[in-house]
Amino acid sequence: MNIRIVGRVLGFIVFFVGLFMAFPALFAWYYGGDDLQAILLSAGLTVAVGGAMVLVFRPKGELLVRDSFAVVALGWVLASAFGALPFYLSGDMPVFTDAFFESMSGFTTTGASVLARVEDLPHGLLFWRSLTHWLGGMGIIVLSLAILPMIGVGGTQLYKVEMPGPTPDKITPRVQQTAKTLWGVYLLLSAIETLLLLAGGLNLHEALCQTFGTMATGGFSTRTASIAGFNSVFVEAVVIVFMLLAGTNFTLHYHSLRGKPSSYWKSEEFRFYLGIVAVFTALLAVNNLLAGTYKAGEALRHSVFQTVSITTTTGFATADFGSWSSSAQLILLFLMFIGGCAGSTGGSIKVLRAVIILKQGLVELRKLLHPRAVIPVRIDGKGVPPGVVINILGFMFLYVGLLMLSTLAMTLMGLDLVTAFSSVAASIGNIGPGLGGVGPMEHYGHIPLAGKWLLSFCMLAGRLEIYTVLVLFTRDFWK
Amino acid sequence: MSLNIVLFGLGQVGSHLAQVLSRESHNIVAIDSNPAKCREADECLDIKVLPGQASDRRVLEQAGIENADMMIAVTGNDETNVLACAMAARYGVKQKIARIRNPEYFDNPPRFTLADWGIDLAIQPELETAKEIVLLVKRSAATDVLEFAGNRVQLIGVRIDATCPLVHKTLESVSREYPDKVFRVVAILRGAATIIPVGTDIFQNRDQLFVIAAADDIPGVIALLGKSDEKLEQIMILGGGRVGRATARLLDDEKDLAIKLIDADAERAQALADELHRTLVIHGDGRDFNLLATEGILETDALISATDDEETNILTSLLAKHLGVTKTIALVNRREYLPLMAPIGVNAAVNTNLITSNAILRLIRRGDVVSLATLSGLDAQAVEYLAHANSRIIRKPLSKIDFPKGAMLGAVTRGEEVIIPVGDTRVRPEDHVIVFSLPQALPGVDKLFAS
Repeated sequence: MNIRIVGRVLGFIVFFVGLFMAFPALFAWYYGGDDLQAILLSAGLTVAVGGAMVLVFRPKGELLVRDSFAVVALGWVLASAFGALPFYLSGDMPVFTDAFFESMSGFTTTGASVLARVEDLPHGLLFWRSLTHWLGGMGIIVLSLAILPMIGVGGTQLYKVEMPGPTPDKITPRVQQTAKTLWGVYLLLSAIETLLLLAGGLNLHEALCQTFGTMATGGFSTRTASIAGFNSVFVEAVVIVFMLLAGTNFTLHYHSLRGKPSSYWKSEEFRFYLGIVAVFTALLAVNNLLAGTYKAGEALRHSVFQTVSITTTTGFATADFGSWSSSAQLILLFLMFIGGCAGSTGGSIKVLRAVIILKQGLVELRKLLHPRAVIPVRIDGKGVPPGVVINILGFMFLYVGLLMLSTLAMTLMGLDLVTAFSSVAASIGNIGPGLGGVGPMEHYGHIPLAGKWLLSFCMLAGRLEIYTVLVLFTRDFWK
Repeated sequence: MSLNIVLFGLGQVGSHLAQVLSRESHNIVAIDSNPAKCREADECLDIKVLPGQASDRRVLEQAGIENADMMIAVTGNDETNVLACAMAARYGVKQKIARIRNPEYFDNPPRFTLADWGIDLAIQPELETAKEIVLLVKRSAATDVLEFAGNRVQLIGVRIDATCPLVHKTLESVSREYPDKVFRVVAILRGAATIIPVGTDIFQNRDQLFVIAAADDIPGVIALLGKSDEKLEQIMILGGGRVGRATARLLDDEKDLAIKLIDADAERAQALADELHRTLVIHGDGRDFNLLATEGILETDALISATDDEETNILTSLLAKHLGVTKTIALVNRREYLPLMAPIGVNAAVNTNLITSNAILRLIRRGDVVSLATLSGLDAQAVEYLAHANSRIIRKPLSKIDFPKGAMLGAVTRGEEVIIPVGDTRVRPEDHVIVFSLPQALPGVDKLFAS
């Protein structure tokens, strides 16, 4: 491993995390909270460590493929560790494990919280919590690539390692330009949502925090009751629309903004994505009506919101779906394993992978009759290379394997099956709320310490799409 | 009038063109980068041969490019052919013809056309071959299908057997017996001999007949010959090379056909599978009988053998015929094999080089020739003429005209009307006349139509 370059890039990442702590400091100062000192101290410490790393590690040689995995995986761990400092130093989360869990949950856009009452946290820390979502949503590495003319050649590799989806494409020839474009689209959509929420009666602090939670498909809110706390159909509608946009491949937004709105409908993945939302909304609405949970209007309203929130892996809630019928909960659990589109801020397996696997299954059926036939899996009319299909099959196996082993570990720590399974599923899928003891109106505070570390690992593995994290545990990597 | 022609490339197509054109007394200078080919052509043909590269200005000037009327670029390399035409355009050559095999050159016509590079006629040999294969699939009873006069007239080849009601009858008696069937038998291939028949000739078992009729009347003619156009639905193509690929592309959109394409190259099979949406692509060796059996050769209606190896194509066609496949079509590029195909039982043979030279010759023949075709395995040509106001052909009824021996007038089209001429038919100006002729009779026919 090229320690000099890896160390330097990691230094830059830590440095940036420190700089961004200036924003929560502003809110802490404005609201006169007692968290200002802790935030400033954390910012200073983080900037100092990051700066020192940049100064100590003088780059030499090139960033190799192997190094890029180390940079991305370690970059996220370091960002989460330093991002935990404000929570820890302020004394609001006296146990570092809790602070790290909260920070990792933020950066990976999971949105699982250890807090029983969110309102207890001062405004500055609340803002930082949501800001970690927003930074992690489009990716801290991609952000670094956009800002820094960092490392030239290796940048493309870093971009591909961090971007979600089986085959990330650059939308412009230069990776820095691509990163800037993606962040530009992200910034634009975030700005629009913030303005709409302001119009909906939220103050700037609340509007920004909900926007960060939405656009990053994170799920941290400023209220314990989540979006239900605002009790506004308008706010819910805005959040639904922007959750859907955030769960869409950002390349499509880019093409649409460039004057080709038809690219949405031309994308097979997008059509499936909308289809999934429509079908599951209908299933849930009918289920809630038949079970007598809600009347007609309410059933639709809550079903739409919960479906979109879970599909996009946001994790906001307008209803306590933990109290819904078992079948309704199971329907939501299914959704946790599909997720958003490739190239979106959404987590989980991704619609594209699910579609490709489904089609491959159908191809296998035809191949039983024609053993020597070459039948491609087609997406948007083009054949998917067989290597990509195999890569996805491997991904699925590791995803499920990690899920199973982690669930086993959680049950060994004494959790009940529903809580153990759903907490792991919600963590790997970067969703946030699960079922049972970690339901939408519950929290993760009561999970044992070891369980919090395990779930943090699952969040990271899920956000970086399994391979990037697991490769660090292979023998070949360290040779 | 003889033309000055610069010919690039002395491969199969190039040498065939050189042979035909030099016989028609055009002045040909041929250029090829392969000295052995140059020597061979120099010995066999009455043309001037220069060894050299297309990009070499001196070779071009030595070939007399400044005074050339036409450039024909038929080397094996598309880009070389394009470059040769582009250079010829700078020297003011009027007609530039190039052979282009890569279909991608034709995929983006709105953005740029081949005319931008100075090419007047681009010939896609494999696409032309594929079109002919598709015609043969549609006319399942025919061994050959040629279209004239904007597709209103068809010339088909049919091999008759003992079940045909015409066998042992003379042409005269047949036309008396079936006065409502309007068609003309223009040639009979009996063994290796091409016969331009007269009224007293007798149809024999195993004759291959060449018949001209209006396209709408063809099914009736086929029925009369004791055959029928069965609808071929299960189609198997062996070999995904250029011809196989082009054929599959043409047939891919037809919803009522089930097409299987077998190719032995894994990567090529993958690429074909990506490109063809309805065709089932199978990776395997077309000679593997087990594979053919698994993929249902017994239920197959038509087998198109288009691998790169023509012996394989012929043998798999015979095997398929043996297994009961209705129609077998083989890609056979060696001209020497063509006369054998019908006798040994291959239903139809297509020859890319012949199709290419036909397309080029059609353009080169003088202005009163609209279309021209050579049939595979037959030493004769079908020529579509345009009659002029001062052509000799229009002066008298046909029976009074001294028509050259070895040539026959097959059909006349007048506007939308198709006429199968009889003795008192008179050709009028602007009529299109399709004549079937042995090579030695052609100059005499030319004179009848010259203006």
